[in-house]
Amino acid sequence: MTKQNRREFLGKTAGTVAGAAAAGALSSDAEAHAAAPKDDPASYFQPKSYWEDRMTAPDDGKKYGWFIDTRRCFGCHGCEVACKAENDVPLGNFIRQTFYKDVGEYPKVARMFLPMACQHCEDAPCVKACPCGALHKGSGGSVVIDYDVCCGHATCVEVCPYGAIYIDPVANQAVKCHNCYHRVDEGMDPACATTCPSDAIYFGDLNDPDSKVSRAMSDAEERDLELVQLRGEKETRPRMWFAGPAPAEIEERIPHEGESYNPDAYNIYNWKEKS
Amino acid sequence: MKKIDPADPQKDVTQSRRRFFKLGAALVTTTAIAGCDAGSQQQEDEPSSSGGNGAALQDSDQAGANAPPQGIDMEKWARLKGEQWPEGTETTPGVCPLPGPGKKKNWPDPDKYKGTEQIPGMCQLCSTICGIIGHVKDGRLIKIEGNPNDPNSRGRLCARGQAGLNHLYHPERLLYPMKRVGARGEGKWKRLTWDEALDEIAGRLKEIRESGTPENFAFHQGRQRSKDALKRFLDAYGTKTQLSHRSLCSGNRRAANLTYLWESDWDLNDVENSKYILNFGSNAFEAHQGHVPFANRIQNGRFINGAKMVTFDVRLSNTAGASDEWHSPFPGTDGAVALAMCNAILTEGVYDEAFINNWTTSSVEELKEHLKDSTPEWAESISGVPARDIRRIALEFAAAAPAATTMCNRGSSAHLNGFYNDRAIGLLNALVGSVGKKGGWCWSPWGGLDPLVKTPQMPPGAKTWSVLEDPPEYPLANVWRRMRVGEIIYLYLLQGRAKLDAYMTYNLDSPLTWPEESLTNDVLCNEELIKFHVCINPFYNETAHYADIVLPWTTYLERWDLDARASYNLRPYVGLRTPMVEPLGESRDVRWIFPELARRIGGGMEEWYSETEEEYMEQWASTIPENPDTGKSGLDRLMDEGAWENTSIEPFYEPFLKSLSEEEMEGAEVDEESGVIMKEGTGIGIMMDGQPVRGFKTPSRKFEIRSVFISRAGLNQDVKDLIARSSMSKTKARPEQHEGHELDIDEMPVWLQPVEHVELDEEHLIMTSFKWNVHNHGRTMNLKWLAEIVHTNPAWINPMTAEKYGLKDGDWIELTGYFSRMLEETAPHLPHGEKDEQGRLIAGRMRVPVVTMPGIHPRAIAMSNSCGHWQYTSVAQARKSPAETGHLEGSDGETYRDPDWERNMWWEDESGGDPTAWKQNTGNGWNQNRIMPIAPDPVTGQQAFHSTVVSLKKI
Repeated sequence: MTKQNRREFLGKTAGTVAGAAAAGALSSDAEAHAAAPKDDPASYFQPKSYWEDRMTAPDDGKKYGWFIDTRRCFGCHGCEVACKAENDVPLGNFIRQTFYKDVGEYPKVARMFLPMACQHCEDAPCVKACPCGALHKGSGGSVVIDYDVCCGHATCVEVCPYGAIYIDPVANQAVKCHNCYHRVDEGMDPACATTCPSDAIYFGDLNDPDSKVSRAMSDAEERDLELVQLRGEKETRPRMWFAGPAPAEIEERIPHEGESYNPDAYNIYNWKEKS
Repeated sequence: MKKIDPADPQKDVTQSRRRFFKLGAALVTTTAIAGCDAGSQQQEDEPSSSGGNGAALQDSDQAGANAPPQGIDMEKWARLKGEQWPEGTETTPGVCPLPGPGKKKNWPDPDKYKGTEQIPGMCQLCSTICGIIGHVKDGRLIKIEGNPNDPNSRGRLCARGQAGLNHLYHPERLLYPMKRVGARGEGKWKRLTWDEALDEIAGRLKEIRESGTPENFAFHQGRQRSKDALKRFLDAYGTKTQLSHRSLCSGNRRAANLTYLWESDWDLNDVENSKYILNFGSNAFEAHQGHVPFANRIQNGRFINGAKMVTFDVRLSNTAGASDEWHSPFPGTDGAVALAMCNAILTEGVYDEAFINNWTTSSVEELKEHLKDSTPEWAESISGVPARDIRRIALEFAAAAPAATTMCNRGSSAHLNGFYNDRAIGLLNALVGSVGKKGGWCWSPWGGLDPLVKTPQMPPGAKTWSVLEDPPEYPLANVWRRMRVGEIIYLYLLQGRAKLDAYMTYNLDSPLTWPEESLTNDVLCNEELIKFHVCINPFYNETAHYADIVLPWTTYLERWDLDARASYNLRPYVGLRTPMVEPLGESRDVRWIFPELARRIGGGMEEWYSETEEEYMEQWASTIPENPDTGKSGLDRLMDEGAWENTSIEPFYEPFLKSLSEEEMEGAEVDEESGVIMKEGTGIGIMMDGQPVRGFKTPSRKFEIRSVFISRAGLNQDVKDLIARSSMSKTKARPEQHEGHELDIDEMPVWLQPVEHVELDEEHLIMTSFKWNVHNHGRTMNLKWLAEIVHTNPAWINPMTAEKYGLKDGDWIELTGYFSRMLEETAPHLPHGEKDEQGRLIAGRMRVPVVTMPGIHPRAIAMSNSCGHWQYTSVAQARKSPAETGHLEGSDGETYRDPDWERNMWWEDESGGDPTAWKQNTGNGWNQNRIMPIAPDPVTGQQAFHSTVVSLKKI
């Protein structure tokens, strides 16, 4: 969905807010939310005291995070289809995607791959912006959504620096990576990390030095690999680290605030470098 | 274990299924018997998302104020809203409509994996057959994962395997037998009972068998993994006319390996332990018979073991693109590059002299003379790859040896000179002495289930002959083992060289996957050439469209097999395929169909089917030893663990050095001149440095750089003496069958170039094809999660080529494919069809859009396969609803409805066939086989998919 569409969508949602208020479901000032488009994500943020409890993960001693070794990734899309199968994601919507880029000119060309999903930011803008209090931190700091509460404002989409949230076309609610907490709580790995044929995706408890993610990251550091984060300037403190040259090359292709992953990533006409 | 009732297999499967455990940390530890956890059955009828994999969906237009706040915990709601905010705050929290009635509930379901059964199986969405686990809840498969117990795939699973749910529960899947009611190919069908279908098929087959011409019943498999069941049925029936697709796949690579090794047709490159991986045209990161197990080990070799990977490929595949270096040779010149590397290694003196002189049928001196003109500069003039790169890479490869290996596949072998390409590539390993070494170029004798399980008793092999199964023109197609020559069968039928009274197709989509689609379609549709056609398939595909009776086959998630392939661990294993759920509708496996047919055909056939399917499986797996932790053995153990690897067998490194024991040497004789050790007329080894060792299983007991056998076999000379010395007793000398078809095959690795490539002018390009990482050739485009990622296939051309033709992204071209000039001159039985005004034989024309890609050779044009279906479900045709409905007689779209693609298929082509209205990344693409000519390599008959000369013009 383009930024413009997203704004239109937001406008419509705001209209229903007014309706809800009028119907007496909740009494508050709806008009403030129906304001004109805002360019600064921070302008969508709610006051801190509204979200600070939800920004605090349960005190279970866990700190979930991700390490993506893009050197190993060969773009097989296994993680994405595993995610679709695990979460029954509708066609046209994506919780995760792998971005491609052909770098260089004939005869010196390489193809790079970058698997992307929600970064589970410690300072998650989606949590700050959520007007109804659905977005919150779950076990280990996973950024998750309470579906008894989410009503599809899409302000989270508007503020996510990674385009990692979409609005489900039927439920009219936000959907994003939830760290497969229903699997992790059962002792399984997330669907994507479990299936990854290239061993590029690592998930686990960063507080546990023996977890798969901790071991993969310390191994990478021992090999003098630089571990980078994407769009660090957004200061959201993402919980996902990358190794390899792909993140710097492909960063520009990842959706921005107000956008969601979309089929354009699969369009072969978009693989090459833009001239 | 109880007896299985074929009519209701699930009944006893469920009863007998053991808990599936000890699969490693990644698995649930809280399994329970299915159906015992009442708590898991929540909100069955209310969708929790919009993906709708078979679930009915509600509309969401009520979301908003008018909808009643269903299911909301108002107390929680109020709590979350927090305190009231002071007046005048710019944004006021707590302003929300309530979630609508279509809202997600309990998502993701924390109980999803509680109370599930974990049932092992093996994937079959490509030929790699990775081990899988099905999570089954209340009789429904809810997720497929990799099985960590599988020693080859180690628990990894690619996108195809993950899309198995689409396959199983596809609303347009065939679930009932059908008989055609209109003309063949008209698409009109009526449903049959199994009894009606079986009676009619058996009646036809019985008549053919009793008339004494069983060879006129042909069985034609696409991908098959039930070799035992097929063999038993066809041998019991008495026909040897079993056709396959091997020549469309891998005949040249196999024959090149067999020439060197005899005991294996499959090099297993030990990449995980390698330091240098030299890849000629293999796309192991996306396809390849060893796909995920191989690709994962390549990355371990590179990023754990520090290996360098260099890829030569006409097109920048994902494998090429992710390599440390990519070089793009002129199409089909891989062998020239490889020979030039050999030349550089010999010239620079970095070869393994001891291995070459002791362990091969050549010598350093002979090779230096033989390859003296194959310089890097010569190869540069042919391939365009700079001589300095060829030399540098050769020396790097030699420096890393013996932990250095080549790898190759269809990129080098699917050419008119493919046999020679792969011979040349294999030679590199011998020169640097990496043959059989850790980290080098290895193989194993265990390509299947042997020696771990005992194949149940089979009828004596059928003795019939058919030109379709053993064409006389291809000397190495069927000598070591039966590879057959698939791409000629429809042409030979058209030429009247064989007749088919009955044709049974199985997991085959030849209109899509065979060259010359229109010829394939014409022959399949012709009731004179194919009198009776039974199609066994889980979906109504293009082959089924030309059948007389269609039988609904079970998916790989609903049937039994023991299965394995050559493992990259270099030791044997065995895996189990078992029904994870009750077969949908009335779908049945051949393990049920064949006995039913045999009983109806009679004449002794029925005697091969006295045991139940369960007894058969138990007997088959009875040699699996006990797991001391569980006390289970045989089939019970496999049903727990899914796969078993015999870790007491050492990896197959340097088997040729194995000493022969005194017992083995008793009564043996040594040939003074060659050192070959014979016992009772059969070779058992060779004397090396005065010691008796096993050697290679070739006639010389050495690695056959010089092969007398291929030369003599090509000239139809008797080779029985060579076969005896090799001890590979299944190898066939067949001068009678090939009489009149002599072919010169050089004893040494040489390289030649098809005349049409030598003389390629500026107006022509060479077409290459490729597979995507989310598809196999003809059987995955019906799966929505895969089709969403790749559904179309514009032709790749280099920007320089585009500029020359005045093309830019999205422009359309007309492509014309030509029959091979080399084959016109050398294979007079092949040319057919119409000539253009220049006298060139045309294979076909088609219109496609182009995409300019930096990663392709400027003289090549690439189109993927897998696209261009005109049957095989709405999804494969990129349609939200079916174009034709006649075949839906055999489906159950009510029970298995999936509104997701009806609602959300964003790639439906709305251009109505108008190129100017076509939008990028929409539609279902084009079948490249419309313009690919039938083009068998003269040596093995492998289809030269990558050698086709084409012309293009802008439209």
